Amino acid sequence: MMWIDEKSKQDLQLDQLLLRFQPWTPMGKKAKEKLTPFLPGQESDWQQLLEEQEVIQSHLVRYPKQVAQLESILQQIPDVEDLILQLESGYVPSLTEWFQIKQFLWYSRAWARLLTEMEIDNSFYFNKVEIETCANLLQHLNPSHPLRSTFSIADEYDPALKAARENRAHLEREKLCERESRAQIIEEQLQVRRNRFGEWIAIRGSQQEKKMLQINDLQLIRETTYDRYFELKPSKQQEKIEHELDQLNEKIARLEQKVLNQLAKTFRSAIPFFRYAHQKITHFDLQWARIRAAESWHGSKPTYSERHLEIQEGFHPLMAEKLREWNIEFMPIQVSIKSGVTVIIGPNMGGKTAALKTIGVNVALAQFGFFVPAKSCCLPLFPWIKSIIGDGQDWEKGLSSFGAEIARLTLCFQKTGPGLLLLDEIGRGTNPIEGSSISEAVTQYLMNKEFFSIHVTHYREVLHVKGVQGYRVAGLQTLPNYNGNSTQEMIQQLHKHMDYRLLPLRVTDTIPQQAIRIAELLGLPQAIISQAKQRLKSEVGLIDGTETKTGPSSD
Amino acid sequence: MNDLWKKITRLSIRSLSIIGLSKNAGKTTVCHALVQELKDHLRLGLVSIGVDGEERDHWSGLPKPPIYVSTGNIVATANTLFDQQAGNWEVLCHTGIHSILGEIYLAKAKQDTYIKLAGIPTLSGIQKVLSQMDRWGVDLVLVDGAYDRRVSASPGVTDASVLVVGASMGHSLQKIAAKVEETLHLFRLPACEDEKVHLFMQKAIEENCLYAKSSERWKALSYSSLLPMTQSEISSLSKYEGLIVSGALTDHNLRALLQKSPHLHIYVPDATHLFVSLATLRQFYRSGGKINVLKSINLLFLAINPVSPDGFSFNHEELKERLTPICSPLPIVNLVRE
Repeated sequence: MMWIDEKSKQDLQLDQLLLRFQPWTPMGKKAKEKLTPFLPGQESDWQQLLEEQEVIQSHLVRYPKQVAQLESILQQIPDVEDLILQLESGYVPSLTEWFQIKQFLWYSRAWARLLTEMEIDNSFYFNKVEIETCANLLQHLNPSHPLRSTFSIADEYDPALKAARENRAHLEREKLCERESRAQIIEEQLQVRRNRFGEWIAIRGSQQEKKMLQINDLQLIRETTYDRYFELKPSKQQEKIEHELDQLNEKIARLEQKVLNQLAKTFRSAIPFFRYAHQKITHFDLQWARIRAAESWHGSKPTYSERHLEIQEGFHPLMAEKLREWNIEFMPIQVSIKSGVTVIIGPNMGGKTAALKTIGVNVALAQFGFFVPAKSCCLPLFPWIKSIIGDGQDWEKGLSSFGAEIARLTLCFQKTGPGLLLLDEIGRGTNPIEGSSISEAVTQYLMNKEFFSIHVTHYREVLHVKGVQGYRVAGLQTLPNYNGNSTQEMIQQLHKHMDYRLLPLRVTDTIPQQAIRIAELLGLPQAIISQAKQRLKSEVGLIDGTETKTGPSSD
Repeated sequence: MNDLWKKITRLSIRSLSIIGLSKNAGKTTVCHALVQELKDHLRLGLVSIGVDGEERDHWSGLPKPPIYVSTGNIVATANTLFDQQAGNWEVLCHTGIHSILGEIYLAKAKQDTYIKLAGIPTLSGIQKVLSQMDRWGVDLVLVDGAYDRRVSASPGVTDASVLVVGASMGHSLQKIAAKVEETLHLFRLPACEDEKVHLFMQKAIEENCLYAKSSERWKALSYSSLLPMTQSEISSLSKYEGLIVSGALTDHNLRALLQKSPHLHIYVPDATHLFVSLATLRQFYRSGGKINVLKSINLLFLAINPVSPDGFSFNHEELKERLTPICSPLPIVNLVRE
């Protein structure tokens, strides 16, 4: 079963937020793509992962100088997972692949050393035996001193290889000397020097050409319309050396391959170490990447609670940042939610959807193993999370939006277990009378499920559902005066006057009715406003500015 | 040629591009000769720019030659090519740059050998390789510039260049001389020293737009380059006193500007941004226009190769004599004969 669907991720802007989760190693980057949430039953693993982050973070703060080095080391560790898999199945790595393996060991060792320097517990990296294994493997790829990060098939691997290479160098020198002495004789004879490629050039039809053609030790190698090019003929001695060199080169190639085969054999027995190192590095990389991401929203460690989802001063990092651009502070939310239905009720623009997204993003980040954007957050591990949150544009789509919403809601009802369901204004896509009936009925239906449902609405009828828990948005305590500001300025004014706090609903609480006043402030023509006030008066017998007394029904 | 290394050291040249004026101009021979000349005096690096990788040159059908490498030289090429001669190389580092033949690695030659250079497809890739070569202690990097990738001669990429002129360019001496004259004219355009122009060129690059000057004031235009502009839009630029073009300036663009006989002064970052013929350029000058580069190209010498792979050849002396008045004082060298 999918823990969170794509649409819910979009609603919560989760992927956008997780762009800040950037591991350094290629292995970490791969693991990031397969990130899974912690599920019920994994509570202790989850808490351990979070505690580890606390520990790592404290060391990173204490050793700021090492942090830059650590980043550079992690960025250079290559991913050798596939190579190790191939090695296991009998493959012999090539020159550049051995180099990659050496780089993996080289930087793993540097990483472990740096963590030791930072006094991080070695359970995060290697114990003494593993450090020794790493050093030994490095030695295998570095048979001569000093230890280098580079790799070559060194002479020291095999005395026979060394001897063969020395023999080859000797023969090549001999070949060169033999050619040089013969060439010098010819140069004296012709009084013409060779070019830098060892050729003699003669103009066609010249005396030099005639001379060159007569010298037995020279052969014509190419010609142009104007010139002829000659070089030394191979002598018997040279042919012999060439033949020996051919044989020697074949022997050297065999010996070099033997070295690589032997290395493969040795490294095959070290495959468990590579797997272990790979897993440790990836784990550390992901943990540090989680820490860095959560630092961007000043995250705090979430804790486990079996029955309650409780958030203190929670916020949505992206929404808070957006508001800050407009010089508006995001009002953090405070909620305590238990199994059943919790209703959040309040005026338009009252931040109800922001509250819903904040709850969702806190839960999602927590279960993916991140510190959360809240002062504190305790939660059970939810088996699934789903949201049905529209945006302003969906409203314009009318029936199609309503249809899509109902279709998604119907799918939600098939879910089982104590998952987290976040509903935003169910029924808003249709007429208010039917909308409020649907909203109330859905709330009633959800009361019989074991979900943790949170339903944001402005239909106060949902409060009639027996057993429902509730919060209300404090709303506009004072209404700003309309003084001909632009709509944009007016919206900013409203944001400033709006009290976004979520207050627990009590039986005696009142719900402010401020929609008509807000519409008026935003510049809806006065004729319409008067009409609306009249209608409201006649329908509910109340006048603008008074409040409807209401509250959740008691159990 | 004997003292080339001294000149390179004196001028603090750390990278040298080898630019062929046509396909099969003879770049490989020049590269070979340079390695031989310099190997005993400088720690050399070798790299190629371009999107090659096929066994055969797709244009001439000739096999692509491997490059001569001397012991201790550092080469940037594809991993698969190093793996084919595993015993000859010490692998130094990987670059993260991918070519058609595989990822580009840097390795040091353990003995004299030949290896093919896999082309590095991007300018940023070349710059990365140059800085890695520097870290591994290379004194001079020879950059084998692919045909029509004159960009490797850009002073932003390499410190100096060698131009290779081969008989493969055409069977007429006149044609070759004209092409050489045109290229040299562009490569030798005077560098502008006006600090203001340098400042606005930087802005033009950063903001990706053209800058124009009128009444002694520079202002940004709403065009990113001349490329998307219509003929009439380009010709309307003639009303300005100066124009900063951070991208390409083509023959087509210049002809459009000529329609209104401009007194325009055009600035480009360097000659590799110019794709104009000498004939159009002369017309532009006659009508009162000027072109300046911000950085000039440091040409070390012109290498001539009188032999074309199709069998045709020029007389070596005749080719040299024909080019001498055009090139002077730039040395002309036939590396096979001298």
